[in-house]
This record gives sequence, structure tokens and C-alpha cells, in this order.
Amino acid sequence: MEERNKLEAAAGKLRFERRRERQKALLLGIISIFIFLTVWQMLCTLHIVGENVLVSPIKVIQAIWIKAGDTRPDGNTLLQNILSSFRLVLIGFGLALVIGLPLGLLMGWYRPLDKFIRPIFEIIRPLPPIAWIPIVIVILGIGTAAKSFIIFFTTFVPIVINSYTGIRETNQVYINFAKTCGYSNWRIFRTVGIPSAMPLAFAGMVIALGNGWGTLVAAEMLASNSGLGYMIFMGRSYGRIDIIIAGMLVIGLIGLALTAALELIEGYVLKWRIKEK
Amino acid sequence: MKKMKKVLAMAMALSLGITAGCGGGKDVPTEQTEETTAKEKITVSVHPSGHGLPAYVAEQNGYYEEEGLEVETLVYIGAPPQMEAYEAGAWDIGTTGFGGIVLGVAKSSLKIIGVTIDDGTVMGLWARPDSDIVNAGYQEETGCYGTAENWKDLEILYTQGTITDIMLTATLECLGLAADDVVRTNMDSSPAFTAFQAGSGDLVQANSSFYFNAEDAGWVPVTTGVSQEIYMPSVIVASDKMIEEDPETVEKWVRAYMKGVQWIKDYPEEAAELFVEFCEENGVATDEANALKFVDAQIIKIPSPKEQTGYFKKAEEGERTVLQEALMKCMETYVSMGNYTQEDADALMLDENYDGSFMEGLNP
Repeated sequence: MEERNKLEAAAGKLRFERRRERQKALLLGIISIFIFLTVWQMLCTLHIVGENVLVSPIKVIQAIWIKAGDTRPDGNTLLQNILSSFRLVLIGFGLALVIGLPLGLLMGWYRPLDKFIRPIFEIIRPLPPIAWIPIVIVILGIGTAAKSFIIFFTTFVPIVINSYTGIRETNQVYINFAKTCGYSNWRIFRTVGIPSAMPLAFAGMVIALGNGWGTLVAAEMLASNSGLGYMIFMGRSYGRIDIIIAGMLVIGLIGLALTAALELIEGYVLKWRIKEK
Repeated sequence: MKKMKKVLAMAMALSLGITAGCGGGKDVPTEQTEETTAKEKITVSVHPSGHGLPAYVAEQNGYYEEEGLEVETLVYIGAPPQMEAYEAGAWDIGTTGFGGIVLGVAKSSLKIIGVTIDDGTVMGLWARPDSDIVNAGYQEETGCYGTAENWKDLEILYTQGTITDIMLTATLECLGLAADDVVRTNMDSSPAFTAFQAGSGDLVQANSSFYFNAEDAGWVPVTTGVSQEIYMPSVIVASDKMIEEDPETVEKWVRAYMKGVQWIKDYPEEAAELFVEFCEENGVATDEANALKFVDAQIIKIPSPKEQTGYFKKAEEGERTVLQEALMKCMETYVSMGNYTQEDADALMLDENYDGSFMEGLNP
């Protein structure tokens, strides 16, 4: 009983220390953002940087607030632009997930498939998304399909690579044990290979999602009449630095929120891994 | 190893000797160095379009050297990157269109010191010959093909924030429609052209040299700058700092540019050849036949210095000049569309933003 109390006290202390660490990290994060915003504001208030180059964070927040209900100068409210971009990213990312994840896993597990697909993948992999634009216009036009393809391409590559690497790193001991139990190769793939690939696959998804939002501006450069990338372009055309930075900030915040959401899903799906830790 | 070093040292000495020998045979390099240091250096900015051609001609025909200038030319595909570069101090003098005028003059420190091409003369929205809008025929009273019904919900591929906005708005007004009645898709000229060829969109913008490519493709201009009576001059601009600190250099460059204009007027066919060269160097596709049409239709109409002087003069105190009036007409459209504010328009109208003295100085 005494032993158990001691253990519980030690565990409590550990939990307390971990909580303190998290709070410390949060505090440091808040301080760094505060310093960043203060320096930015000072640069603008003291006219060290001209308004034609950079507007203050207060003006950017004002622009976001105004854009919530105002369609000027690009013809859409902020929410309309967010939804339009969200749709593109989700279609591109969703497709990349549906195609890339199984492809990476299967390539990593089945060597003949790997040998068959890898050369093509290696040729396509280094191509920058913008290089696809001329071909995409001719083949897919200028609508959602074309823009989603550009996002699909940029998200597809890290998903395939990470799921491939993840499954290739499956512990041979687990595979041998499953074999000893008489499992078929397919069953070992499903029950041992896929779960062990998941941590890296999730890391790939986080990278992919970031890439997707990062490529949004390029995708909407192709042709658009709404979206956050379009809003940035219009801000550039009409010399509205506040709109440009507001668009960038919103893209950053949405990217951050989606990454956090994905990490939450990862934590839920990979509970076993966290316990194992 | 030692042998190898010797061989290398001998080879280097030999090559240095040859280089020195070549240079030493003539006195030209020394003269050139002196000449170069005597020249005034400036950085110029243009677009690969009609208003950039006189600057290219000046460079190719040696007018800059005649004026004692050493010019570095930066070519930008549109006004936003051109004006961002200006903010970064990349250039001091150049030519630009309406977007650049607002960004550089109303919102920054550039001054308008001259007028170049009229963008309204070679611009249009084009449709496929078998489209409903073309089949509906040309309507004299609206200056465009089709009726309001034909135009409603059409997808138009064009670069927003450019003079095409003005032409489209004027056309829609004539038809009793608003900007929201059509689908306006923002695209650069070149990809818009490709996309339209591939079947996307209902109408496409084809201005400047693209105008004649669209004609070649068999498309029909359903509304044009001419039919909508759009007058939109591109302009020569210079930084207020340069005008104040070094007006002589500004004057020299303007003189070289206007010499280029005169040469284009005198030799349109040769100018067309140079235009093709200029476009190809900057990634814009055109051919000699279309370039000649473009030169004839737009570039040779650049007003002379004498004509330009009138653009900067007010008939009466308190009134606007011809140039201010033309710019304000376009600006009012943008303000009504919500793209620019009334403050931007007021800033553009400030008299201090216009300086006609350089053109006046070129008058005999």
C-alpha cells in the first residue's frame, strides 16, 4: 500500500512537472509572439518602414475585421474567400490522402510494386507545382479540378514518401512473430505493417497539409475569382498591403488550426503508441 | 605532382600573357573605361509592351550613348512587381500603365512627366465565332456584340486591376448590367489565351500584341476599347527625388525615349522587327506581321512633345488638364467598383504629381 502511494505521488509529481513544462512552453510562445508584434508595430508607428511596404498589425487586424463584411476590393467577403480556399485544399489533400496513403503503404510492402512505380514517382517527385500549370490549363481547364490538382500534387508526394518509409521501418521481429503465428502476408500487412507505419504517415500528412496551404496562392494564381490566394493577388494589384498581410495571416492561422486538428486525430488514432511511450 | 604544378603554372602564365597581349594591342579598353566613368548611370523600368518599345529602340540605336547615359533596363510583366521594385529603390524612371499610375503616383512618390501609347486603341474582349454572343450580331447602340441576355453569366478571363476593367464596366453599363452579372475570372494574358484556346471561359481579354493573335485565331472582338471610346494613356514616370536632384538626367532619358518614338514613326517595319525581338527577350510571343499591325495601330500614335505639352496644361485655373481628366474618368470607375478609394482618386489628381516641363523642354 505504501509502495503504491509512493508510486502515485511520483506519478503526480511527474504530471505536475509535465504540466509546468507545457505552461512554460506556452508562456514562451506567447512572449515571442508579443515581442514580434510589438517590434512590427514599432517599425510602423515610428515610420522606420513606410506604409507602402508594411502596415501595422493593428491595421491588419482592422482589415480582417472589415473584410468580414465588406467585399472590397476583391469582390468577396473574407468568409467567402476562406470557404473557397478551404474547398480547394480539402479536395486536393483528400485526393492525395485517398490515393497516396495506400500507394505508399503498398509500395513499401510489396517490392515488385515498388520497383514498378518508383521510377515514375521519382521523375514526378521533384517537379515544382507551378511547373504543372501550363499542362493543367490545357488538360483540366481553369476550374476547381485544375486548382485542386496543383494542391493534390504538392500534398501527394510527402504522403507517399512518409507512408512508404513508415511501413519499410516495420520491426522485423513483429513480422517474424506474425509469420510464426501463421498469418498470411496480407494479414501481416494489415495488422502489423499499417499500424507501425502510421506515426510516420501522420507526420507526412501534417507536412502535406502545410504544403497544401502553401501552394494555395500558386493554385489560385492559375485563374480564380475567389479564395485567399486570389484576395492576396487583388490586394497586390490594388496596392492594399493590409489585404495582402491579412490574407497571409489568415492562411497561416488556418494552416496552424488544421495541423493542430490533425495532431489531435493522430493522438486519438495512435493512442496505443502514446501509451507505449 | 610538382611537374603537374609546373605545367599548370605555365598554362596560367601563358593564358595571362595572351589576355594581356590582346588588350595591349589596342588602346580601346582604356578609352572605354574613361568613357564609361563619364556616363551618367540610371536604372529604367518598362513593360514588354508598346510603351516599352521606344526605350528598347533607344537602347538598340545608341540614343542613350548619344545622350551620355549608361542605362540599365528592368522589364516587368505588370504594374504590381514594377511598383514593388520601385518601393525597393530598384529604378528611378520608366513607363507604366494605369495600374502603375495608381500604385506609383497616387500611392507613392512617382511623378508623371510624359504620355506614351493609348492603351484603349488595341484592346478587346474576344469570343469564339460560333458563340451565341457573336451570332446575336453587333449592336450599334451599345458598341458591342450581343444583348444583355447574351452577356449575363458569361465567364470572362482577364487580368483584373487593368484597363480591361474599364472597358468591361463601360460595356456592361451600356447593356444595363453590373459587374456581378458576369463571372470575372482573374488570369494573366498569356495563360488566359491558352485556356481560352483549350475551351475554358466564354470571353477572353486580348490586348496589345495579343489583340492580333486573337484575330489570327479567328475569334471575334465582342467589345473593344475603340467601340467603348476608352482613352487611357500609358505614361512616362520619374521619382520625385530624381526630378529634384538630377533633372538633367531625366531630361536626357526623356529625349532618348522620344527619339525612339520618332524612329518608330519613321521606320515602322524595322520597329516591328525590334518589337518582336523585345517581346521574345521577355517571354512574350508575337510575330512580325502582328507586331507591325500593333506598331501601326498603337505605337506610332504616341503624341509628339509639342502635342504632349497640351496634355499638362489647364484651360483655366482650378480645372483639370486633359491628362488628369482621362485618368480621373478611369479612376471613377474603379472607385465605384470598390477597388480604389476616393482618397486614392484625390491623391492622383494632385497637381504636384504632374510635370510637363520635360516635354516642354523638348519643343524646338
